[in-house]
Amino acid sequence: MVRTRVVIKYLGYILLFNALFLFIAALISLFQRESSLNALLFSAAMCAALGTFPYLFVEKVEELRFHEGLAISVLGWLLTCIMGMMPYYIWGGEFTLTNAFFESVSGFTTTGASILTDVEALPMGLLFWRSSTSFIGGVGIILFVLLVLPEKKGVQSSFYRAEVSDLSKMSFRTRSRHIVRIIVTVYFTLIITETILLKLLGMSFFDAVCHSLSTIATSGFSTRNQSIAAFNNARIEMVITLFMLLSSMHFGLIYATMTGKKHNIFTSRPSRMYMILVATGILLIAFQLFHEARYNLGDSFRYAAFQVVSLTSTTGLVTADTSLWPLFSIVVLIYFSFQCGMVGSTAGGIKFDRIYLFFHSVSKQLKLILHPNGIYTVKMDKRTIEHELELQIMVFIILYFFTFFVTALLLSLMGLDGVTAFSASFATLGNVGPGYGDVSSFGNYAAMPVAAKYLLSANMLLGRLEIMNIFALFMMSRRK
Amino acid sequence: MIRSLQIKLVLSLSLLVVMLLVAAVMSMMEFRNMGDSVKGVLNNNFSSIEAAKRMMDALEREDSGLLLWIIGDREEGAQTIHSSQAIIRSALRDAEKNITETDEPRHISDITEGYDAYHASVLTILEEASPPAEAKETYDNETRLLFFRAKLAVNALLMLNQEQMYHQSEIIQERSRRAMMPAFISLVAAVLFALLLFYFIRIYFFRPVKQLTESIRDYYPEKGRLDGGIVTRDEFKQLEEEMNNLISRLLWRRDNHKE
Repeated sequence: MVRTRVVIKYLGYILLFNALFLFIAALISLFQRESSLNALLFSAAMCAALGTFPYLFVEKVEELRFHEGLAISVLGWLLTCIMGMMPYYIWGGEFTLTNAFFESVSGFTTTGASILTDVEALPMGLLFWRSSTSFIGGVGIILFVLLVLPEKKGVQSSFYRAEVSDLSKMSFRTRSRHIVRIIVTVYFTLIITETILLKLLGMSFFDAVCHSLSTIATSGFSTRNQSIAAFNNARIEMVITLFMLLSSMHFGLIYATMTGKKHNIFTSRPSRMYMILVATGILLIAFQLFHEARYNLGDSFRYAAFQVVSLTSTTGLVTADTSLWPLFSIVVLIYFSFQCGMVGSTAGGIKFDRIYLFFHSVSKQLKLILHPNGIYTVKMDKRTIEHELELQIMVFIILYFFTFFVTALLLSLMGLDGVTAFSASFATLGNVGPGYGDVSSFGNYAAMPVAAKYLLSANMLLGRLEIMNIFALFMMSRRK
Repeated sequence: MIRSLQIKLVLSLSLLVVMLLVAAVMSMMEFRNMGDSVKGVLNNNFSSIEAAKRMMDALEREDSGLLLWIIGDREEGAQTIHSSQAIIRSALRDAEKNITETDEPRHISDITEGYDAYHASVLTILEEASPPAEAKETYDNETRLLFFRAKLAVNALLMLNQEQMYHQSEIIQERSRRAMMPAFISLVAAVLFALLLFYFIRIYFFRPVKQLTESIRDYYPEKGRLDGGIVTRDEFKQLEEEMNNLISRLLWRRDNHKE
């Protein structure tokens, strides 16, 4: 049984967290004397008022039930996206109600798909809010709330169970209550380091902060119409490529590497395989680009590396129009848009670990056909994967492709061409951002029909919440 | 944690008041900005447009005056030319005083230059006092072209200010939307707030009242304490405790009376 007042109370906490960032964005607008000040200030006041209200009434909770944690997690994301669109909608410009919702969902789910044709026309306050939505969504608003929650451990663990996948927990190798701190420590360390490096390489402080938030959260929102291509600086691209790659790896392994632990990104087998695969993708594309004389050797590697890492990490920042690249390169990039980063990172999509385990499960099943009485197990980093988790992965992959096809089908019914429909579907479900056709690297989602924008927003949320949680919530409400 | 229901209610209603106040202030500020923009459009672009139209009329009248002069009505023609010149100079001064756009000084300078050339040509015809056929030839070959050049320059100023006025009207339209938005969102938030408040009143006011009523109805002295099932630590908990105190006192009196 879900206690509604308890769910409302924690949704209030989430609103208060959003209000904090809206106030910071309003301060930026105030100093810059921008037209977005009123919109940001008003949204912050609304969030703060609605967030404080349940706090006044609902008493402290000793324990949170799993179903309540799940409901708070899913509804929290939805509410955050709805409240997050408020400053955009009040400010106006290109933001209609649908566009504002799409941009908000895209930010919080770290997809980075935009409806803006002129990003540079946005005031700095709104640009900061746009980057903040990615920052909040990067590790998940629930995890941030967990960090500052004044509640008991019973409450925290329910949230934790609802928000972090079982597969992700495996590589942390520590107690659950430390995991949130590890994730947040790695998150902040990466953001601060990247900001400093980008500033040193010539970006303005504001651009450096916004792009760092965007990179580490793997959202892909830029302050420029031409994304990173606008800077045309190979050193900036190298730094961003490195940090996009790091952000797509398990934060527990990054923390272990930072603290000199044995089990780190270089010793973990899936992590090594992931890096090898990314390197192979870069080599294949760079070779083709150079072979077809699209760029010189250096530029071939430069552009291939940036685009491959950007797509596999589901960041979506761009430095080249990949829709003009040869077909083989496009196919390789599409593979990375499906595979995406590792579990325990800020990346979206199926995740490499699942694909890794999927193939090991397939191999196990084949062995069982040959030797029906044999005992075979699937292992990841010397840890045996339970049969239930194996099944969960299979179900996830099936649901992922099912959602992908259904969305693509509905988009084509809405009159979109095949390439746009399919690529928009995988680009939003995987929280990647750019696709092909009308939504290619330098394109955007502005021209999509209104219904398509809502459908893709739902797709982004499904992708960010890893599908299962939303389906579980539906099952829960049906059982009632 | 606030325990008193009275304080909880007062604070939550204060939140609603603050929210509505913020919305009202924001709307007022946006409306004031909108008013300033309208005033700006009237003061800046509209005055320039008026000046350009006056120049255009006067320029055409001067040209008509010249044609009158050429066909023989020299007195009226000369008079029209001089009065028109005064109007154009005055309109030019107005336009110079009211420069608001980046390109405006260039356009005014073009008009001044074009008009000076045209007027000089007109004066040449007047001074030479040639026969109509000769004057008409000079007009056709030189003055008319200078007239069109001056007219084009005035037209460019007119267009610039009209475009800016259109642009400003779009900004004002956007501002009016922004002014309405806080009110609209506050309305939605107030409805949400009211629903939440109703929900909390039901949970924290009506439910305890019902629970206490039911527990009093089902109470019999052998039960000992009255259990209203109140879990909060607010006024209802106090009421439950006081009721139990009352029951204890009554039971004590009854027992002592028996003895």
